[in-house]
Amino acid sequence: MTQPPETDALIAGCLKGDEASFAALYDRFAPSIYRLCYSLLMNHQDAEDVTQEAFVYAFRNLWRYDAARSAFKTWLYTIALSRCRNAYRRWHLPQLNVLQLLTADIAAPRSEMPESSLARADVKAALEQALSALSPCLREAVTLRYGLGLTYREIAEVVGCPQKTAESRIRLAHERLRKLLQPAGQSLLDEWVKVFD
Amino acid sequence: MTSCHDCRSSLIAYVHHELSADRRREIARHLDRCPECYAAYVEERDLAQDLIQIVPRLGEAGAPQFEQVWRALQSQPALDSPAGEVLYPARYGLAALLLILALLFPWSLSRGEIMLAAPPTQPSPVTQTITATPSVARATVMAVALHQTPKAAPHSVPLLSATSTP
Repeated sequence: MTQPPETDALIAGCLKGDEASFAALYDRFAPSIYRLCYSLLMNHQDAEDVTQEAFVYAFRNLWRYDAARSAFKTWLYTIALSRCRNAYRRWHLPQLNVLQLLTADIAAPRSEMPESSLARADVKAALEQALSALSPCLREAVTLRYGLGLTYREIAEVVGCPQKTAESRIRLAHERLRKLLQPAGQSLLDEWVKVFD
Repeated sequence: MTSCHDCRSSLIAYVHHELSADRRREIARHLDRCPECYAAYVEERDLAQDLIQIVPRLGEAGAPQFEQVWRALQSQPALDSPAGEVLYPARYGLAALLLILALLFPWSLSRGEIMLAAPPTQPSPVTQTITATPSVARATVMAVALHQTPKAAPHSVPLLSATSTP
């Protein structure tokens, strides 16, 4: 697997017990691991806990990592994803009602949308609701594809499914999201994009 | 020739540049000809572009500090090491031994039951010819009958008529 040589050097440093290498490796991957956890769990505290748990496990088991089998980031994503799945089972994430999404304030016309932090928070909340309305496996696929930019092959590797399944999950997620957003019209997405820009 | 159904099922992969060059050409040719599929393509492409902008912003800030992770790491026992791998063959060996014992235990029990359940051995049939007078023969048959087990009795029946002479 090809990955930046610095990553390999940092892993080698960690295996020798060098704290600075652990810190550098953490700084390099923690933001994306946290984003993955947050997108799946939709809760800051849970995402933080799972991120920490995933890194502690990864650091303790670093000697098990085989660079010939997968990229380090893929290995880390696999660990984090499995912990997120444990968290779903433990905490029984409530499935949000689709109606909540459809009645969200975010569908306000663009001209009335104030460019404020409050509006940004609303947009973010609405998006979180839309993603929460997806089933966990569809949410995983969307997050890995759009949040972390993984290819279908990488998604299949992280999720542990055939590549075709990864592809069809993305397709299903698109269908679900389009259905969820249709009543509000394309303006909803336009607003999201505008507010985030 | 790509059908509309075929094209729709590959649209997202087309948008994500995940198709082979040949397949991509086929889909592009179909999109040029079919306005319905082209409209569906535009819809998928726009949704994908929006999601690419929005999803990465979820959880942008907030990863825990490295110090927290390091403390958690230090508070647990020493880091695992490759030496741990040495234990695996021993674990597998122990598991195999337990499995063998588990398989043999019921077998050894049932073997004992088989021995207990075996039918009693029958006495060998009397084969010597009796050439005495009827009274002697009757006495011999009675004596033989007294010494035989009930199960073996049928074997002695032909003896009465076989060799006794009047």
